[in-house]
Amino acid sequence: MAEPIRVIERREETLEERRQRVLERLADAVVHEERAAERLIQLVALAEDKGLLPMLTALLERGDRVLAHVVDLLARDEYTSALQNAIGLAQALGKFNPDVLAKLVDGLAGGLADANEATAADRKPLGVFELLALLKDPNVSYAIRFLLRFLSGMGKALQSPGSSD
Amino acid sequence: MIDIRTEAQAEARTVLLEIDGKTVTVDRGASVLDAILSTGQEHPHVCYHPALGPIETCDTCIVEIDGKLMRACSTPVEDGMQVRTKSVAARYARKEAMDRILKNHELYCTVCDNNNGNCVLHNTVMQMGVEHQAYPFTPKPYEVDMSNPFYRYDPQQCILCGRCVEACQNLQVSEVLSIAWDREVPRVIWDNDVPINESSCVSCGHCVTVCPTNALMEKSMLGEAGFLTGIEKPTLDKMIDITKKVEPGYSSIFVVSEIEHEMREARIRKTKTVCTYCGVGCAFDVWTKDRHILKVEPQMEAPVNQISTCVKGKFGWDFVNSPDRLTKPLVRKGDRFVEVSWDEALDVIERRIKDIQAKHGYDAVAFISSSKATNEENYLMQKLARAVMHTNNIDNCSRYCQSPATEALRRTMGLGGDTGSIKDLELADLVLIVGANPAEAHPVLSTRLRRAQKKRGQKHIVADVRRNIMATRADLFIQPRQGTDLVWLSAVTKYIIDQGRHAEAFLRDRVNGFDEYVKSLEKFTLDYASEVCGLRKEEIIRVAEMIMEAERVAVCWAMGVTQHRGGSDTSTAICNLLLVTGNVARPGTGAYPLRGHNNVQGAGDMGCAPPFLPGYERVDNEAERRKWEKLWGVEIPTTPGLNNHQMVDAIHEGKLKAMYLCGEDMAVVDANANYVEDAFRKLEFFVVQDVFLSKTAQFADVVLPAAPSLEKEGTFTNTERRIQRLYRVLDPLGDSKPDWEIIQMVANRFGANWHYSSPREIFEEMASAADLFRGASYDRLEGYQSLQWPVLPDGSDTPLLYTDGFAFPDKKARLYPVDWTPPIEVGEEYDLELNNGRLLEHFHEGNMTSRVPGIHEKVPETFVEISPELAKERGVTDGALVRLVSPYGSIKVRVTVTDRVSGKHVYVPLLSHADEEAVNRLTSSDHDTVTYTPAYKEMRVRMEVIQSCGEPPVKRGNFRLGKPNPQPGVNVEQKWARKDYVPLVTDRALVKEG
Repeated sequence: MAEPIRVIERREETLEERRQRVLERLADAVVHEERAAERLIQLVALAEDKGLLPMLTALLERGDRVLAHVVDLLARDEYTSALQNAIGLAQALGKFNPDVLAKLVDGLAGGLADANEATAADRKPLGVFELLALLKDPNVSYAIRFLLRFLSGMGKALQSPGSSD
Repeated sequence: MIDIRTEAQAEARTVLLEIDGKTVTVDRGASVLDAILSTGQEHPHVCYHPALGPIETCDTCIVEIDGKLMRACSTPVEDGMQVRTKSVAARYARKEAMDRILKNHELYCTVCDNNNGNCVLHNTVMQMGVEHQAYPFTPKPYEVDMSNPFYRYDPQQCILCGRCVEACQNLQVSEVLSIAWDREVPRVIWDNDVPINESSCVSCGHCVTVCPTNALMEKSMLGEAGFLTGIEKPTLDKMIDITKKVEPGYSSIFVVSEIEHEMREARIRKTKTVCTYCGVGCAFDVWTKDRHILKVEPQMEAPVNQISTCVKGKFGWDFVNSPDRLTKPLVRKGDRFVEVSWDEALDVIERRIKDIQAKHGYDAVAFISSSKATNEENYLMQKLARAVMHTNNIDNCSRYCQSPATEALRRTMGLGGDTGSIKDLELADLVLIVGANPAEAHPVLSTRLRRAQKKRGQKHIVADVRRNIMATRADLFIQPRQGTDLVWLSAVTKYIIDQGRHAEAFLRDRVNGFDEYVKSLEKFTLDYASEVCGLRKEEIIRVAEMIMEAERVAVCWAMGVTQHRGGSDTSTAICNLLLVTGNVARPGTGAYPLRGHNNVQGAGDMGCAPPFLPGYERVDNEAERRKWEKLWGVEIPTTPGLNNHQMVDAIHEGKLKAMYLCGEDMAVVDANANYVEDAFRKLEFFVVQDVFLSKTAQFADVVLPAAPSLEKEGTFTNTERRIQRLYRVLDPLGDSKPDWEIIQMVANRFGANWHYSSPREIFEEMASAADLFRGASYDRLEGYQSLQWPVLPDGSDTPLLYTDGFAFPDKKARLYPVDWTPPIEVGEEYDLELNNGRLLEHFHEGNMTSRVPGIHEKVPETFVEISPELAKERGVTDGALVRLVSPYGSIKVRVTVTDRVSGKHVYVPLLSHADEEAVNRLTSSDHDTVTYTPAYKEMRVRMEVIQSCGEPPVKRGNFRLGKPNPQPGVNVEQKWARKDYVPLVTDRALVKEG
């Protein structure tokens, strides 16, 4: 007569069995990924050697609090506007046509070199007639035309509202 | 000539229109949105969902049609239409629509648990290239509702698209959710604005599944799905603030959230499975992170349910991680079970069974398979019994429910399965539901009926002793006396024939035995039926009239019909009625016995019954038996086997000594539980294979730890004969194993020498021999593909049976005369009629669902439903403690007073945590005369009052206490009528007036 029973004698794994099982699994994994395992040990040793490991450990241990502090810091107005500027700058850079930008940088460099040379030679003030005469210089007039067009484009961009879709 | 007509028809079926200058052909009846999407072009839309249709709240799909701005989702295509999606006006309108949405929703995608690549709002904003929103986010004056154990509603994130409302009102048709458009700040409300958990919400999860944002979310996802979403709340809030202040434009934010989503893909696994609960056969993806179940995500490709689920399928899976799981084999030692290794357990099984076989012969051992297990496992179980253990003593629990229906279908039409699909049930003009409670026992199937009724005017007749959910919504509800269905069904059939309204041509060409059958109906006059069934004659006539008026009639039935002494005959009467009225083998018609378990159909199909080999081929048919003998390389015994009812008797008679039972809590679910338990006590050796230490397992000598459906591969076959694959979502817990692996290990101890390495190999072996499954293969069932048997060698399947004849040699159906078997008589002191059945939230006795904390919280205990009249008569109120006594035993439960039952009718759910609550302590060993299905639904009891009042067993959080709020849908007109709503479409009325 088998009466119903509810009691289960759970057989907990002994410490020795557990050690055996875990070591076997670890050993299998190491054998399977021999090279990766070696490199990992090397990497960890280096990190320990350079003091990176204790720092990372502490950071992870106090992760939530650390994150809270970082976020607190970032939430300050000066940092949000810094972030805003950084992102804005990055976006702006992305919008430049690289060819034009390269030409402009070349132009700037050329201009600076010439200017350096000319100003070093002649330190007396620039008169009005001298200025008008310089406008006839094709190089000067090209640069001024470029500057004026640039100002016009910038004005247009500043006036238009943000658009989407 | 023929060609021209076909062309003309094709033209009539399709529409030619122009989209952005390109000519497009689509089916007539399609929407402009369908047409746009059919070109492969992306087009924004948020509130439209293919399963719900146009809702018209979001305005993000607006296009210019013939110069007017219109919603693409709700505008049907017309010939010659000029559609411009890219016109400035249309683009402006869509941007404005999106701005209005974003005013209601904070975009903190990277730290949102819904950032999983399928957030409709996120994807639409990205697709539209929105960089900034015109109106700042405005918080709503409402708190997050966390009251429901399974999901939350965050009004702050709710964009008021109404998808949830449409799903609740018109797909699930529980009619709980609505949008309060008349509020200054509208929101979604439950019932008449009560906390979710106090409403009539059934927690089916439809609303959560269709929500295009994170407003409605599974609680199991919160803080778990994302890498950053588990961050402490104050820190998280600040991060959201910073992101908003910095706001470099949404495209940049989305890049980060897209990266985070890609990272989630690496650790969230999405695996398709088929539900383990009822026989409807819902399939869905399960999202897991290690062993944590993040959520169940239904898919539109799922052939049965699409996005539909019930509370069990959507939220009922925590049991797989229950600490009660068996993780090691157990062997009985004295007064306790001791955990042992697999080898030790198998040693015991081998030694004891071989010993019993040697002493008492092969037939002293019996096998019970499981309708919870896969087809492959059921196939192996019967192969183990027949090919390895040399006995036909193999059965499964379909004996407890649907064998009578199978018998009736085989008698009259030839094949033991539903004659059509759930799609046919949707299509029917009239559905007759007899002795079934699909709203609780087959929830997703019932949603299809309720939707057809609400949206298309499908008619429902419900015949039941109890006013169940479908009855409250029925067009006609009749309450015949217990066990008298055959009588009124026959009277209805006779009345139809007497009126000359039977399907004469159909009967002449496709059915045998009409004249003889008509003679057998003679006694079933209206007077006789009215007297026996306690129905008014007008009610019976009304049923007949509704059947005669309907073009397409389908009948659903379940345990209320089958679990009687005359279960097979009543099922046959239903089939006869369908044949007489010609309601078989046409779309929208047919016979639908609703299968109770996920794989009841499959367990039978695979040959887990004494006389049947796989595919219902017969052991006593020499040619068929030889075929299997050749395949298995053994001789199959020809001695008839015992069914599970006979097994219990044989144990008592001392003939059956050992039993091997897989995944079945027979001690609780078989009728006359005391008698069954006594049998188990007498067994010399008993092996039980289960996920938990069930009541049955407590009697075992060896208990083998099995893996539940989520931890294995295989196939299930649903109530529509549909075979679907399930994939392994999780690894088996501890040392538990899938049943097929266990059965193979046992078989090999008895010299079987099996080497199956996967369920695929088992399925292929089965399909190579069983004619019913010839063309079925794992490749043809890949992913969400499915096949409805019979499957022909070319892989084509049969959703609708008998379109080219019935499954008999002459292709003709057979009318099968039947007579009424009166229900069991017990002494007069047993004055109450006892009924029993399922609860929506729990599956059957609750072995799995009681271990789902949310379900347990909602429905912690069983009860007895008694009528207000009876309560008054006995002086008891809600919460009274009573003892119900039958000649076979007694139970002790608390009372709930409800008008779901009337007079002296009482109802006890099958849920039974404690021995003294199990309703089967009251039922008898009486059974269907043909199939031995227990007559669970025929018993009378008396009631002893222990305490006349107490704490009500139906607790707060139970949907039965809520008050639904039926609405036609989301009521978008109320939104449009609001003063603050400025229309974005060209107002046709205004254009006309102007």
